[in-house]
Amino acid sequence: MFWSDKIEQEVHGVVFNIEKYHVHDGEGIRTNVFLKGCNLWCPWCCNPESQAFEPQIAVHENICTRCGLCVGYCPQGAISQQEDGRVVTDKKKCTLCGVCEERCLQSARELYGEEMSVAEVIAKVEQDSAYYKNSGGGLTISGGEPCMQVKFASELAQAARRRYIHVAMETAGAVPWEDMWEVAQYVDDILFDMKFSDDEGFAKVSNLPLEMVKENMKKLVENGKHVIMRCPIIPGYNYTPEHFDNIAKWAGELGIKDIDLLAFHQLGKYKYDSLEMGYGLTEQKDIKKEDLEPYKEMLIAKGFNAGIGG
Amino acid sequence: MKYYLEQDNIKTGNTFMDREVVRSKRMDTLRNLLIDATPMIDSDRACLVTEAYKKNLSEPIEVKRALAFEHVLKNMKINILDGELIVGSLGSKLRCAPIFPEFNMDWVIEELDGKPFRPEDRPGDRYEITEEDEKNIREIYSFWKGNDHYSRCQAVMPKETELAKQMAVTDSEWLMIGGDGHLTVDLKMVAEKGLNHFIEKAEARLKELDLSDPDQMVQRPFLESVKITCGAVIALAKRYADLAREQAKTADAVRKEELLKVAEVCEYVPGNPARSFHEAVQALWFINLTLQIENNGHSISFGRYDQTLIDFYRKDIDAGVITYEDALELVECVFLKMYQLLKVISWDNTKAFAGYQLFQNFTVGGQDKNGKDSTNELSFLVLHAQAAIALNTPSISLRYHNRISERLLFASFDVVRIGGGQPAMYSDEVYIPALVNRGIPWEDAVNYSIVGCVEAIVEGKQTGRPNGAGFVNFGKIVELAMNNGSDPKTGITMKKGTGDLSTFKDFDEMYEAFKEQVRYFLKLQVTNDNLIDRQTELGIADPYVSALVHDCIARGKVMKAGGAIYDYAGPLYVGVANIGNSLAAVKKVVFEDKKITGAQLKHAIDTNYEDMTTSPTGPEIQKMMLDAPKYGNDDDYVDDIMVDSFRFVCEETAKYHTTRHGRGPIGGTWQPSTSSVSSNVPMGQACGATPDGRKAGEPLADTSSPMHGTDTHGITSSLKSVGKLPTVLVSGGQLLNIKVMPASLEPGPGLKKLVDVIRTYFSDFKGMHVQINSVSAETLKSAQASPSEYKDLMVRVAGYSALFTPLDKALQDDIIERTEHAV
Repeated sequence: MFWSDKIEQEVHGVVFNIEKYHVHDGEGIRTNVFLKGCNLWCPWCCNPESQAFEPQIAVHENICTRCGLCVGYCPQGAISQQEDGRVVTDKKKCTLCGVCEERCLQSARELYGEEMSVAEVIAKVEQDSAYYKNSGGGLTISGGEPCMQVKFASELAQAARRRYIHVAMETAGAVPWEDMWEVAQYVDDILFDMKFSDDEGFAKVSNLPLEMVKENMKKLVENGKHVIMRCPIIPGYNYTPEHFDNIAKWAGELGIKDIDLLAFHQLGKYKYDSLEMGYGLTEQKDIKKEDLEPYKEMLIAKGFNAGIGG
Repeated sequence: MKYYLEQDNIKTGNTFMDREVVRSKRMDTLRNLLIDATPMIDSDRACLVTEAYKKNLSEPIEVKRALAFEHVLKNMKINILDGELIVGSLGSKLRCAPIFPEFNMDWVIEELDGKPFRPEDRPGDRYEITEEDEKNIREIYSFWKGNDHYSRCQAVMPKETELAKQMAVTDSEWLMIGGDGHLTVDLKMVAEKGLNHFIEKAEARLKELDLSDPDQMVQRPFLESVKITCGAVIALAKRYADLAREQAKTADAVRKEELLKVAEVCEYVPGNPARSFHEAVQALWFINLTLQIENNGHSISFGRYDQTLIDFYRKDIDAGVITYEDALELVECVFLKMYQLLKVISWDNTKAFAGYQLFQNFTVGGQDKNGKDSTNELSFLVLHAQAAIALNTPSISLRYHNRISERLLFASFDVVRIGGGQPAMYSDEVYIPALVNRGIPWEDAVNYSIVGCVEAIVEGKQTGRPNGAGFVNFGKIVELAMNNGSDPKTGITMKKGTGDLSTFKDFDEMYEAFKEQVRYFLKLQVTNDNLIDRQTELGIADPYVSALVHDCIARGKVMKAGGAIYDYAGPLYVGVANIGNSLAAVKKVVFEDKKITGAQLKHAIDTNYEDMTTSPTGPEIQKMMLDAPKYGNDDDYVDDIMVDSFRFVCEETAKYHTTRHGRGPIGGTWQPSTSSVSSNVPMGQACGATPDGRKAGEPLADTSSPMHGTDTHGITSSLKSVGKLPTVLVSGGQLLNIKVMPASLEPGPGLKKLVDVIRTYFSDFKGMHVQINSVSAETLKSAQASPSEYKDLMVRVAGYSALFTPLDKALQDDIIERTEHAV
């Protein structure tokens, strides 16, 4: 019916979650579309299912009753039960067909990641249009790193624009400028992660130069994009006075007005277990929001719109 | 004079419009006194009514009822509590539940005999009774046994009524043992003109009557009864004036001044036009109180309180007679008077109306007939009073519309944050067109207010009970449709079907089988309720309340005989979401995906999804049915079926006439409503497993809300689904419960987003009503474990709030279960 239908149906991406009534980040009532796959490996990541590019099967141990039915359900014979009752999945045999997820009586098995077309995703996003209109909200493309699925993210942003839906994107920015701009040119607000202000720190989560990140941020501002600097504050990584000074310095240099400080929390811990992924920050205590107040005040005193989120 | 004293204020910890809410020492003391008071059954009214009936055996029903009412008001025990500024209660006990023997006493005696429980041993809504009261009640029983409203109803009921009740598919029993209520009378006229004006109108009509004309002759008893009843109310007020003067003799100086003021007020109103805000507030309270004494109906409401009283308020403020705080103190006094009111109903019915609730509303906000926002100072004051008193009654109702004051809307959320779902919110954008659609002219439709849970009524012009008739259990109707019309539990077949789940060839055949059962049982429910209404007209008549509703005096007849200008009645639908969810699940799993056959599903349902010997097993089939599309997720697959089936049900109800049709009022028709009160729990207990994956005995979906636990896509999807229902047809009121985490209500940008969700639901999706529960499941569990620490913890049940701890455990569990799915 529309000239854009064909491309919206043809372009696919891997999505691991579409969350409606997302109200914690960005303006108004938003729908967050989480794209799977990231090129960083931040040990504090609260969405570990976002990191791998391929779909993954997870088992929620707290829900699983160890009934063992899934062993029989699996067409590939990839699931087996150990002596203690624990169910394990042989990742080599598993074809991610989803039968075990569909049939588990407890909904203890969850397949993270589904290949979806832009058309399928935008149809879900559009369902809440009336809410966006009344609240000033819209679509947030999140990840993973959305710019790693550059074609899909770009087409999704364009599809939203064609429907007069406001678009925001969350990015860590460690991608070539061409990829960044391919998506960002269709995005209204960019929630840009600033994880480290020193090369040494950044090397712990990436093998790309930090300069690339800073340069992308700079170019976005130069190109007239509204950039919100988002700073996860992680003990043992960047919870230092110098880092807060650098945040202010960067933002000042780049002409960024809005800064969100995100306090470290342990809410993503259970997901590491369900994905059989190692988690290195088990012992780390949460940062209380109050602890960040002085830094927020410092930023406000310097003229920034600073807030505490996360 | 000064009513509000600042010293020794108590901080409530609640915030309203950026200020901490305090209670005066007076209000706090009274509130504590009442919260700690034990609900008591009282025999005073019952004995006085019995005396009057015995004395006036031969009088026409209107006069007999009027004389009984007069006898009660002139002789009932009265008291004034220390500190009260607004006076008048149902008896001398702190929280006092009178007995209405003229309706039915069988259940009272049975319960006193311990069947099923003594009043003090009930699982919820307990009452105590003194030896003396019990003795009095047992003594009068012989006069009423077989000589009451219930017996007169039973005498005319078809045999099907009892069968349907046994199956719990329709149930109108509560109408046979209870009165009508469910209305707002012309309170504005009482305040502005006084009851003497009504007496004069009746006298003028009596003078004109030509008794040789049979049509006029029959009007005389009612018109006489107007004089008797209104006169009796004035006399009661004067008794309070005398008592206040008496108490003043021994009071300290401050209290003495207050009591003399009370005496002055009660001497003057409600007989005469109120001269001050205090007098208007007291006059309205006397009317509400005495309406409670005439019959044992509930949901007798205050209407658009902010509109009715604003002129009195502004006059006193301008003259410097009172301050905002003084007016607030008076309204808070009324709120506590309302909390004091109690009516005891049978345990069986209490399960469907749990929580010591009389469903009395104060409506605020809305618009005038030119579409202008009606918000005024009293709109805020009423909300403020609720923030200060914060109990489960009265019910506060906010009328939302597209041009509502943002300040009033956000002030409402300050009250929502306190808990208990107050105020509930109702949208003019649907209510007004829904009423116009039933034939009410725009000018009156715009002036609607809320009574009971969600019923809209035109104040002083409409017969009571615009909904609130018999219950219709759609969970059971689905079950019957799937079983060829036969009830698996009782073996009863009332309307034989055309097949069962194992024989239906396609969706359409199943859908038609469902419709056939609906047609049969809605017709039966209307039949039952019309028969009851006819018996109410003949044996109860309600002359006093009729006197205060137009055009009863002009027409010389009570409401039940067609005296009111507008007239509608509505049943209470239970388990609406279970219809669409069940039909959609069978359509998807059996007819489209063909994962199992209808016979397999039937067996799984018959065995409550527990048979492990089949392949797939019972639990596996239950999982398939649960995974089918569910209403509340903005999924058109199931929502289309919901909307279509719901529209069918609504139109089926609206086909029928009330007993007043063609006898004077505009309307005279039945209308739908989705107010299920708390009956989704007992009615679910009577239902076997359903094809939506629900197991036998579990609660049905409440009201028009999604089935709890099945709306998994968040609040925006949930409200969008509900907004698809054709609410403009539901002129009896549509009800929606939502649960949010307390954090969502904290002031700030998050709250604005929640408000925007509600705004979208009302303005864009034409949602009709919403009530927001914000208490966390953890809090509820703690309250269940240590009730004494949570005596004033409020929750929203269905269209009304209740204190949580006195509820029956099954209902508590249902509320916790629903709360756990908060966003």
